[in-house]
Amino acid sequence: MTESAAAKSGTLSGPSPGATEGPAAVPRVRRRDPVPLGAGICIAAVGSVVLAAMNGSYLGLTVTTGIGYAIVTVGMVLQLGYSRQLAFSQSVFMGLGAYGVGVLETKYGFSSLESLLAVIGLAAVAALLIGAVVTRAPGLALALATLLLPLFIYQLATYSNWLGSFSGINGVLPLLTGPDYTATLVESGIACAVLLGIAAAIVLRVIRSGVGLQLMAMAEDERLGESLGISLRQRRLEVFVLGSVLAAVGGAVIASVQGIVTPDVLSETAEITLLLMVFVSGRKSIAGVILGAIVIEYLTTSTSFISTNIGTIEGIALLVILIAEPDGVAGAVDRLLGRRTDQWGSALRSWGTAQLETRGIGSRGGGNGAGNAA
Amino acid sequence: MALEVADLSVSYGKFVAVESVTLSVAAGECVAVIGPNGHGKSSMVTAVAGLVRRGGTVRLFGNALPPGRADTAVRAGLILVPERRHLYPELPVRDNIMLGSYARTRRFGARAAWEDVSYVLDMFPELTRLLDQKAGTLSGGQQQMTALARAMAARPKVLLLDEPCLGLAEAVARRVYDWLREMTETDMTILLVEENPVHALMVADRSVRIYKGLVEVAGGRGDTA
Amino acid sequence: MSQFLNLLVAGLTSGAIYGIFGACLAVWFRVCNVLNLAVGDFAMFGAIGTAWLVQNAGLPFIAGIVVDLAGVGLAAWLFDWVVLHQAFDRGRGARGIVGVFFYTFGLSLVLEGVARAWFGTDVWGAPSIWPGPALSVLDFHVQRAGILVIAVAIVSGLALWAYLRFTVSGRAASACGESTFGSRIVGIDNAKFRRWIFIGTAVLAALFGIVESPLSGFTYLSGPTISLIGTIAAGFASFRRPGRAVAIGLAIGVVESMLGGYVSSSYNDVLLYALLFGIIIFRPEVLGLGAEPA
Repeated sequence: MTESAAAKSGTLSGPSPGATEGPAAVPRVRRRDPVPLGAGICIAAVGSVVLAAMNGSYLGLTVTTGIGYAIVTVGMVLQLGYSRQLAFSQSVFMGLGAYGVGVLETKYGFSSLESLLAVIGLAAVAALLIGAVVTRAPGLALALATLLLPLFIYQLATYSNWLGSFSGINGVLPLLTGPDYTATLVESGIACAVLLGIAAAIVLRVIRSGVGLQLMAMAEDERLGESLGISLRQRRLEVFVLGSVLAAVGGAVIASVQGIVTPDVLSETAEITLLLMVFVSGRKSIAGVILGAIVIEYLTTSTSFISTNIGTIEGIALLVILIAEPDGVAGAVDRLLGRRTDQWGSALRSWGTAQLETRGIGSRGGGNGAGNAA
Repeated sequence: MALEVADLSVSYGKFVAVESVTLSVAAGECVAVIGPNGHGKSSMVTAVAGLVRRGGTVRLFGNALPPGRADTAVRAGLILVPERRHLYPELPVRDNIMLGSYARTRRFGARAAWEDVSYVLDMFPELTRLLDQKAGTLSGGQQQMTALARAMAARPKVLLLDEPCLGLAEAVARRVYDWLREMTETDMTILLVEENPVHALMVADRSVRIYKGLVEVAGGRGDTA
Repeated sequence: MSQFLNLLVAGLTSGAIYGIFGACLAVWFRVCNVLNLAVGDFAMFGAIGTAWLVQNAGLPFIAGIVVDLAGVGLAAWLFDWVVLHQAFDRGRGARGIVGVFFYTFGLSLVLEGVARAWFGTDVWGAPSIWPGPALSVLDFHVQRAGILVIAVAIVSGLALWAYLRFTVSGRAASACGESTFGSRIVGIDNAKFRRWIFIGTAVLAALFGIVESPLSGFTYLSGPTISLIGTIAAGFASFRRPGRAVAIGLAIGVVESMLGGYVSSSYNDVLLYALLFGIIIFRPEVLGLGAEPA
């Protein structure tokens, strides 16, 4: 029943028709945003086609490993890029995912799907428990505390015989098993691409929603955000949990691709690599971090010069990016093309325009629209 | 002329905050710069003080000041009391005041510097009991007194004041203007930025109005139109 | 009793490292609100560089120290000119919490890479400034280098504290970190303070590396972990108090040593990191940052 019909039928409370009326009720605007799902499908489709074309080659293996890192970095776009939540815990959850599937498959006979689902659940619970504690600490304290996490978790893993100590765990199953080795690599790679598409769709959905707007407001000024009614702790926790679960999924993918889990996956070196992937690519660009993760993974394994001097190269790249283009390569590309880097920007404009039009305020007016009344 | 500003312009990216402002202040004169919020008054005065990049020229007693060099301006005797004070919240009031004389006394040690500036407490006796208190814990009025004391510790030849009563209670604002009136009766040269023209013309010899970054009109004491 | 004293001395020695790095971090953070995560790498270059100059280049020890410290100072100046000047004086580059961490994080990566390329993966130790056998007092023994390490840390911490507390220059340096704008309006040159304190703390860290390396040796990877613990020590001193950072660093070293001696020599680091983690999370106010209300 429309509002006017309801008013005529007297089913709306308030002043009777003809009396001086207050502001009209604003109909709730529901946006159907096809971008997240569409982007997720595109990413999965393109990834699948590329990996099928690579036909199980070493390059395909490298790209698939890069996809595993990309799943992690997509979560970091939300944490680092939009929420500016500086938490150095992604490698820890990556390790949780990798060791999780390794232990469940080799010691308890789980299938790859069962272990992946179990790891997602385990990571969510662990992230909730850890996040409920760490997100109490404000920005700098959170960063310092999570800097310590990889250190003692790494030491625990290397000292644990149950986790294989320095040798790690061998025999991790691929995500999908084909009739032969090549088919297994291709099908597993396609499964990884689908998982990446799902991760990207979820993160995009969050970024382009009201929650994403709240996260950006918090990133700019937490006190102001709080005064607007944003629940800081809840949002921080949600971002932490989502980022951590995606990191765990990424770790599980990497372990399934490589067939082995070693403590290196949760070392501070791994954390540094992830940070580089995000900063150099563009911490606000999902496409950027996906491409960046794959390219950087390829570069670190492609030539001995790069792998030997990776620290120096990463350091120089990071400094150049921080000074010249803080939004990373993706930011530079967008600037060249005259676009905004963050997906939120254009979505906000279109959403905001829709809101204003709903309220009868055109592009010329402003404020409460009273100026347009005459 | 104590202060000569010619063709001053200030831009923040593509946004032009101040455009071709020319004004001068004679020695011992108090000139008020009035105008609505957001029309370039603060940008103008911070540019004159060398704190933001500018176009145009600024001369202090005939000597050109280089743009963007606040330390040169301070050593020459051009001192700014900025909008919102910008004190050092973790340092005690004593250090906040003493650092006002940094450019002059940094070579002489903390004790010598303090002895040199203790005279400002005669102007602001209410700060005497607050000397060991951290500036961040002071009230707005006390912070403003501290900011003024810091500026006077620098022994300014020309004093720039940007909205000295912003956010202050009426009684405190009156105290500030009483002090300002005393300063105008000395040979201090003052350029006062003030949104409220009535307050400004209580102490200023004449006024300049800035509107949308441009000097619009000038008036004398008693003119509030 | 002798075990306790030996553990205490060992703890004070390792804690002195954390403390002096914490002090260097605290002083520089106080000036420009940026963490120097490369402080351990400067120490590493001090130790390995001097060892290389003496053993491979044949320089006399004192000359090796002077050349090495000059090289560290030059590297610090270069980094300030190329990176920090662009970021903070020209207004370019990333700001906020990203800027607090990642400029010097990048520097740390570069220094490690350069050290690996130049010096390889071997363990290096500079000659001892105070050679001779360990000193024995009653039942406990202390290396001469250990005494030097503790003494340098305490003297440096006190000197930095006195500089900030009692000198005009120290107050001006503090003002830079409190309010960049507010310091400029009184004629303080923020860039100069940032640059010279960065160089000074880098050289101090390098000198400390030279003093300490006869005890434990340095590899190209030695810097980051020490930098991290130093950061924690500085954090517990609110990133502002170098004297307190030294004291807290010493305490962390003693706790680490006692955990190793009385609890587990294998897991003492794990327990230490977990303890520090817990303190930061449950009592962030010790960092001068309050916990969020529930």
